[in-house]
Amino acid sequence: MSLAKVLTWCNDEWYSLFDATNVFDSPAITAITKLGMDHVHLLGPSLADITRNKAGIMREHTICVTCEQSPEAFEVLMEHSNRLSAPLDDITDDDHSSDAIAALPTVAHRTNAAIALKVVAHLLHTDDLDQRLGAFDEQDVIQGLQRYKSPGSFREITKSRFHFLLDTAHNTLSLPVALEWFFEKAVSKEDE
Amino acid sequence: MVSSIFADTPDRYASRGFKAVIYSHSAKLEGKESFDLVLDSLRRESEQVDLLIISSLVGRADGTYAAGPTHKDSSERDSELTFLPERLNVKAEMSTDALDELRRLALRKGWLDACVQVASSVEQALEVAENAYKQSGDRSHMSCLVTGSSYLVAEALAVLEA
Repeated sequence: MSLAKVLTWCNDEWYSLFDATNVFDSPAITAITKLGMDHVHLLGPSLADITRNKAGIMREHTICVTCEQSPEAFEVLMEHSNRLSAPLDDITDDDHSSDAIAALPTVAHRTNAAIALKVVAHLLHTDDLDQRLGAFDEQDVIQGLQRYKSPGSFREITKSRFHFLLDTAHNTLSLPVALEWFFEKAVSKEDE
Repeated sequence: MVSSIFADTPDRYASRGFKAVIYSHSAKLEGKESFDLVLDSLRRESEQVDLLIISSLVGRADGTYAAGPTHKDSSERDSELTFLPERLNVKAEMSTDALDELRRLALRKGWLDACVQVASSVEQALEVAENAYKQSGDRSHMSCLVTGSSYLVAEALAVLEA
């Protein structure tokens, strides 16, 4: 195996700060997606508390790719970045410019995809890793994005006059996005 | 049939599409907080929604899971529902008391009694939505959002695609 993506995950009790993935002392890179009020009962109560937990995956002298965060979250990430000399690399509008990213259904999808592309770009410019990755390049990621499919995410099913919209939103970050998507789709259906 | 979920919203959208929201959360998630958010968000969009259905997470009216073991033999469905956790077998349905509690919460926030329904299964929730639409008279179509829990969405997908 040349490279492994290791996803931190909530096992109901321990999150990034104490996550089992922290057995890896020297990841090639880390990434933190959009932070919000999720799993508050375990990580909170504040966004700063949640961010401190999530920032537990950051490592010394290791780039951490992230996206635009709220000031409260960003301040905590910067604290960790400075303390660990771990450069924080935000995605920019340019990182959203590929057609494959633009075709994704929501801002959240596009942001996560842009983070993934940025991670790959960094890896391809990392000594040693570029050799181990062989012919793998950003185009491979683009092709992966084009084939992206998530059955429970922003799914539409139309049956006769019934238009069902399904999404697994379940927290204060994702629910407003799902509701906005629903109303947009419902209104556009009325205009047909 | 009322055309708005709120008593203080004029009945001026009757000619538009019927809009329903089916919501559920598992007891382990920050359920009430998320439900509050749904209620508040729909409040801001009050003129557009006709019906809120709070659903248990089981798929079928007989209490079984539509997306659960009964479909495990189908490789096609397995690949389609890859996000579905094995632990769906864990009984994750909400109790009648929990469903009623959420309904009372909605009513306290000003929702009309007739516009907040509870359903003991996802299958029943979809039927409630469809029947409400049919009773709404002149609506051209129904748009129905299913959200709140991956279990709920998995079950709804299984029922709708069966």
